[in-house]
Amino acid sequence: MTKDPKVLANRLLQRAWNRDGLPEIGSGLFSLVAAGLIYAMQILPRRSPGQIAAILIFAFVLPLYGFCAQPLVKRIRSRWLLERAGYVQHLPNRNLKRNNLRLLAVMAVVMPLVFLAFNYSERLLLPMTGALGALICGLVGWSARMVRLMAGGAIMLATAILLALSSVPVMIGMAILFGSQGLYYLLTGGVAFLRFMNDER
Amino acid sequence: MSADIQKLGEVDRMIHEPARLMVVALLSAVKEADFQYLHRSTGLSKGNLSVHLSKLEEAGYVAIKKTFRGKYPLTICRLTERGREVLENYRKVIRAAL
Repeated sequence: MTKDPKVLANRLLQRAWNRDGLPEIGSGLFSLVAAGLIYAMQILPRRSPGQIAAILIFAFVLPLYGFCAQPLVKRIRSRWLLERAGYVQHLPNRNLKRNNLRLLAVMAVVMPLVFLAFNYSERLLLPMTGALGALICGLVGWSARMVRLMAGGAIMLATAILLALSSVPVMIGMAILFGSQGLYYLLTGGVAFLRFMNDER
Repeated sequence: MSADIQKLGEVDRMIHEPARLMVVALLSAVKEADFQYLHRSTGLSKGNLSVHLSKLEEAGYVAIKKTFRGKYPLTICRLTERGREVLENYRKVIRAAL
């Protein structure tokens, strides 16, 4: 066990946050919807109402999930799971916001450079998305020491590399990548949720 | 033996105990949390957690308030200023020594 109380506290908080599987179920649903929209954008006729709707939802509605997911999970817990999960009021996490901004800044610089280095190869989109997803899943999983979250990152990276090496069109590959990731997190989140609800502690 | 290591002998034994350190560390990272949340997060038994919380409350490190949310009774725990100071001091000593 670590002797630094701050490290210990952050680990316990991360584990507590992911214990009931709700954040995973949320990100699983998000990934499945994203996969469906990417697929719809590819197969629907160009500039048809369906394709335009899919593009608009993908561009404007889906990113909203990123802002709403955390408050939504908190609300579900306090409304229906208070007796099981317990009550907690978190301190405002300025470090998290700062770290997210740093990650965005690094990606904004690194990704165009990698694309330039590989001569704008479209097929790079798959391994790059896989690597970024694996990095995020890996960091979240490592900070909570939760194997299932880290495994999700590894699966995403492996799937992305396999798809990049295959002859699948890139955007269909993206839909498969997000779809498989969504199914994985829906499954692990669902199992975690059932175990949490059956835990009689 | 260096001065930093000698300071290890002065660490606050109230929070040096692993279970209490876990409770205090967790409370330091949140505004407040109830008994059930601490029980779930630390993995301590209810009896064990109750004893440790009582000791921390007696030492003035944790403030405990009993309330209700609807029909659900809440035992809300919060780290006091004194608790935060002691934890920060403990952290400094341990980091300097290890």
